[in-house]
Amino acid sequence: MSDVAVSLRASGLRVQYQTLQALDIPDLSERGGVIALVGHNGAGKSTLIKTMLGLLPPRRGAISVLDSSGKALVPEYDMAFCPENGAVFADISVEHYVKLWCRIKQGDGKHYRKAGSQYVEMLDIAPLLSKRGRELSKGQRRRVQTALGFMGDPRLFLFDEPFDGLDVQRTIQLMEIVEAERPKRAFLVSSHRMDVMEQVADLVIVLRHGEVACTGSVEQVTKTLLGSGQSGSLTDAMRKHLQHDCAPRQSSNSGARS
Amino acid sequence: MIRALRLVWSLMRIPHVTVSLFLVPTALSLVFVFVQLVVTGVVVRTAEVKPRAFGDRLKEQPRQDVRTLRGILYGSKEPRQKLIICRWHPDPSSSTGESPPSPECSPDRLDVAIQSDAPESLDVEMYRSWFDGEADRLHVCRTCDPDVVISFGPDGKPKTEARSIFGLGVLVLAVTKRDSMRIEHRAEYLQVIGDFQDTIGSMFMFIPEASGFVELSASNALIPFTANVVLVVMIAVWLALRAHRKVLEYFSQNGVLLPLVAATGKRPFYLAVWMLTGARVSCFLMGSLPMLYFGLQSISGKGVFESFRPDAGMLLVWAVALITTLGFLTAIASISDLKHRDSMFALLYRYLPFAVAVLGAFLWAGSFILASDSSTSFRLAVASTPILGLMPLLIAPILKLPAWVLALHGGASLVALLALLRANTTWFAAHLEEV
Repeated sequence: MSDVAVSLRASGLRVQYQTLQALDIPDLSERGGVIALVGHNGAGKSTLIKTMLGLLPPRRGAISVLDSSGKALVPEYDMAFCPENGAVFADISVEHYVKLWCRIKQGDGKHYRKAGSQYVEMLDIAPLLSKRGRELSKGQRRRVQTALGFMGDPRLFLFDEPFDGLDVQRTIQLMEIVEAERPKRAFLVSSHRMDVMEQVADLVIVLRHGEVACTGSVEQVTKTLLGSGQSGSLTDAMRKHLQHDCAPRQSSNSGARS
Repeated sequence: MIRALRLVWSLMRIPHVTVSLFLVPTALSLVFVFVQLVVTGVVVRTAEVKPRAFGDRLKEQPRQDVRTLRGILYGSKEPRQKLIICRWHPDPSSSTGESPPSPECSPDRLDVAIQSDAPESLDVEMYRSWFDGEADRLHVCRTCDPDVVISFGPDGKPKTEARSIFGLGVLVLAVTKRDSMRIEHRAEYLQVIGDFQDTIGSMFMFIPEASGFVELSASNALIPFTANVVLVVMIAVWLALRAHRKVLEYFSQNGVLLPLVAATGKRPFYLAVWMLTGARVSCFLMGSLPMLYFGLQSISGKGVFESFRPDAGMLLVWAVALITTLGFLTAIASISDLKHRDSMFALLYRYLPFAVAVLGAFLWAGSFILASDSSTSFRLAVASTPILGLMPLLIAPILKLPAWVLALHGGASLVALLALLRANTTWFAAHLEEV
């Protein structure tokens, strides 16, 4: 595991929306470079991301993200976040938005033409700069937000459903970008695309009804969910997991534990 | 702090934010203040006119209108000569089968005709009283048709036809004549009021809990001052609370709220929203306060603010109490609007505080009927209570309520406002994306 891998540590974490218990993670301690967060709709994936970013205050307990030296990452400085639908103001040009973002994050509205230009190129943002936000598709909005996230040079990039609605070409492109950026930063990706997760993730966290059902590498989680003696892909394992109750939470990635 | 300032500076450069957050609300609010000042000026000027002089003016006004209309119709503004009644008689030699009784009854377009089957015997006294002095001739005939024709249907119901715009003018003259009579009665009444005021002089009222007599006259400069300051504070508080909602809504609608809060951190983000709010209110105050200052000087005279000097302390406490209590009210309405906007009880949450304020106003005013020490204490208790005592607080400078009552009201409102914001902070943090 590379030096850029991060550790997720949670203890007694409880997050509630009024009376609805959204997350209940008594303890979690996992380390990964590309962490896949998987689970059914409403399992608590987005809630966990928001809690990590400090957007949702836990009712009890805490969660922190540590770097290899054990130092906690500060969300606004060390993390970047791309929501499911991307984010661009509808009534201003993409270039205006990009400048605004660079001004806020780097204090220099022209950062995207200097150090950030590689991400403008990598994510093919240049043709979009003159368009208004409302003219962009969901995928284009996500590309813009992803480029902006990279420009901030985060140590952890959090993606919420990044592959949702992407065509094959764009999916491969995003996977390649994640692979290319892997030596520089860690990723936490919430997704339903098990086929993609299988290829990029080195740690999988399976959430079920707000609880961690199991964690580990792709192979370990697949084996755990399928049961001994059965073989298949992560997609098969998740299909089975969603059909039947998952076994009580267990970590099968003891080696990866920090 | 620097991050928040950067955020504010960047957001101010978004045209939509600048226009919707600053330009339009500031311009609209200033128009409100200007209109309020104009209305106050008109009311004060009107109230300052002595009843007797007003009565004279009242009598003169319709007379002038009537004279102008007469001038247009007849070429002379003076009333017409005595109305001539012309009862037509049958005349087989005439093409219409009837003719006027005398040469002076020769019909003219501006005459009035009553068409009847029995012109010789129809009672026309009522018509005479209406048209005397406003038309030259009243024809009673079977078929004659000048510009105003009154006829009767088979059921005996009358109907009047104005056959030209000039005929309509004749009818207006007749109606205005009656209106003038009513106005004359009113002018006489105002004459009596004027006499009464001359006899008793300026009116003052004593309220047990007030720190002085309350002057009930238009010359009391505290009345326009109070009315206008209340409006300015209400607008400023509304702008402040609405700013939060506007910024959050704009970000949320564009899906930018969460990434932006995550990128800047919650604290700098909210600091930036507060800065925008402050800038918005400052824009409004920078425009409205000079307008208020010069407007009140023009309404109540140049020395108006000098005259407030003895009450300066009380007015300051009042202004602070006004800001906190209106802030509390608006916060309740705004928070309930956000939290419960999908609930069928949303309206209840939003308007319940205002209903309580109205109830308090009734209770407070109603207690004046009971002239006792306990009713005085009751009024003081109501006036000291947030929301319930809103009405007495709004007019406190006019009533000269004691400063400690205002301080108590303002202090309690501030505590309640802080408790409300604190209690809802967690909820808003948890529902950022739903805002």
